Amino acid sequence: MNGPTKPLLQVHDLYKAFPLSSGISLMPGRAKGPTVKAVNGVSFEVDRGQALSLVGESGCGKSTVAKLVTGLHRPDAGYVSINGTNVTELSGRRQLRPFGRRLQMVFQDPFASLNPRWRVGEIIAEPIHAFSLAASRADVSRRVEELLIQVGLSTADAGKYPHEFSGGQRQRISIARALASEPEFLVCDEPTSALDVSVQAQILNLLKDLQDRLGLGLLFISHNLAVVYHVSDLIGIMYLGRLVEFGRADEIFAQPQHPYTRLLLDTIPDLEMRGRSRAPISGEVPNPISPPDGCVFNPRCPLARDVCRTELPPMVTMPSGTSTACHAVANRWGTSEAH
Amino acid sequence: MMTETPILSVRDLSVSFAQFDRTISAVHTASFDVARGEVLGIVGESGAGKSLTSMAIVGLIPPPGYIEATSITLEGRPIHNLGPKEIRSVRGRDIGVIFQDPLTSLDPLFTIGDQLIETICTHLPLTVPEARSRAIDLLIEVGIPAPEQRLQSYPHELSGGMRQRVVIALALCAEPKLVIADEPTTALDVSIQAQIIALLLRLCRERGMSIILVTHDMGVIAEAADRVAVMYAGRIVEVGKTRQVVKNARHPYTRGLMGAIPKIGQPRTKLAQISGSMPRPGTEFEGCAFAERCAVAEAKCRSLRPQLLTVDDSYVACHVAASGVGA
Repeated sequence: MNGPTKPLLQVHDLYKAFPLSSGISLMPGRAKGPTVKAVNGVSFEVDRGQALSLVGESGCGKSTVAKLVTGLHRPDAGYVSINGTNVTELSGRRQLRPFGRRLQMVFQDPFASLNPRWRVGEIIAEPIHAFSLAASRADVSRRVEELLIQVGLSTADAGKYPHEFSGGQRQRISIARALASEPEFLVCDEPTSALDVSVQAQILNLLKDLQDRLGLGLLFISHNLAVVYHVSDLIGIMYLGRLVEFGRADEIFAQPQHPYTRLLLDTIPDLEMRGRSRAPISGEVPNPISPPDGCVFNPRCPLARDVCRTELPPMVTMPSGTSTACHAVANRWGTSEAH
Repeated sequence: MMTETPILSVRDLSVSFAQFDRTISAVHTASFDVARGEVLGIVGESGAGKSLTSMAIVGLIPPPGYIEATSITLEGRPIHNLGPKEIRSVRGRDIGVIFQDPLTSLDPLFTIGDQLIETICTHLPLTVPEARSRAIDLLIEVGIPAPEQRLQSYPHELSGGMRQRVVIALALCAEPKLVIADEPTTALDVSIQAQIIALLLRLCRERGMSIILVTHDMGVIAEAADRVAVMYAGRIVEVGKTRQVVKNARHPYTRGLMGAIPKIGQPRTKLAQISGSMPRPGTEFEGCAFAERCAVAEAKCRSLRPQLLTVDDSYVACHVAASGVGA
């Protein structure tokens, strides 16, 4: 996977578990209780101008990956590197600051992620001040106006408060704030799931447009496959803390390999109304505290065999370039299972 | 609108909220019918008034909100002028209600069994043991494994999908003829969503029950509804057969809404977008509420409110759509 140049974002074998017991045992150094393994060995790379989407149902660990990437959580094992620098090893403001500037985040809830007591202009100017990106007050307000126009708001909006805006407009403000530090990489955690469809289309168009124009790398977290289809170059399908399929978006949508991916694609309502009857996936996501042995998807999988109940399938890359962690798929391609 | 007597017939339903200095009307003169065994979808974006419309039918509008209607009839019996006590017996008995969030619609302090048996005994003349066996039958019907043990479970011990199945069982307790499902799948994961929709459709078929399915998700409508009413800013702007509305919408808002949904398999160009956002409830318009955002609006649209008129085999409230067909 390693190219000659360093990828913009590289995530290598990330692990993150959260302790389950009461608040007190959250203190570091306490005896280990039961844990939820939220992220279990996730690796991927994203280059400049590329958009990677992580898709999965609630509890699959996709948002935890986003938080690990942005440094809001520290991984238990594995590392995140930006342009070849391992960010996980850095500590302290001075070391982290330059990376904070290059990597910004847009959150899901545009009502909770903006300070209601700050004017929009102040919200957007905050990263500019924090990273000392403008010399004078006039420069700051010029930059704020530029950002407002870039996300499709008007310069007069700088003087208003967040409550004066609709959900879609607030998400535009969040995006303007994220862009204020001129990042190379944007992490968007479900940026449209709190929005109505007509507004969602506006935000998706805006993100796509900004990504093309500014050459941003994008990590997009979503549970909506149709939204993901629209924005991504690469897709990772997650299930119970693991990547089960990873590859180019067009390949995966044309030829999904992993049975979970296929079932997930099958749940998308048929808006063309061709009369296709869909077979709902039976069962539910197992409890992440005690995940099943072997392949985590085996209790719901129509192709599950004995080996699936005992051995964890490795990621196998197929001729199409898609990597899939499934015994049945690996078998079909004639690859040995003992990889 | 239909030859057979509809199960539910709503005429000129309005929902308003009184404030100190003014009255905000959130739903304006909505009229529709639900036929026997039919799934009627009500779709719209947040604030369009779709939930208020459905909750008004069963008298669940909290003060200072109030409803006005020419008539709401359930199998020919007027129900819009009933007192709180009478409407309570209609709700649950004749009309079952399923809410969006399965966790808040169950009481966390009582077991599933307590809640089912209480509901059954309230509406049907059964003894507790009879109600218990009926509760077990209902849990089997909605696809809950090991129903006898489940009767002893508390809501927090069940997953979201299982809870929603229990809520559906509660709604079915008294064999209602009509079920109002308000965003029944919105709080659920996609794979569970498909299971719940399949369950609702099976129940509708097997019991000859009618469903009003309120949702913001056109996908759910396309999957489940026979007919659909599209709401915008408190008004029904289009009613028609689902296939007609999804594939060949007449109203510019519905068309925009359909275009804005990302679809897999289509070229990944820019999504069609409707500029701006829906006006807040209480904003008064002389003309069409959508005119500001409409790409085909004419001068007439800003001054004269369009009525819901027949265009081919659907109903559309749009001057342009009506004149385009020459109706």
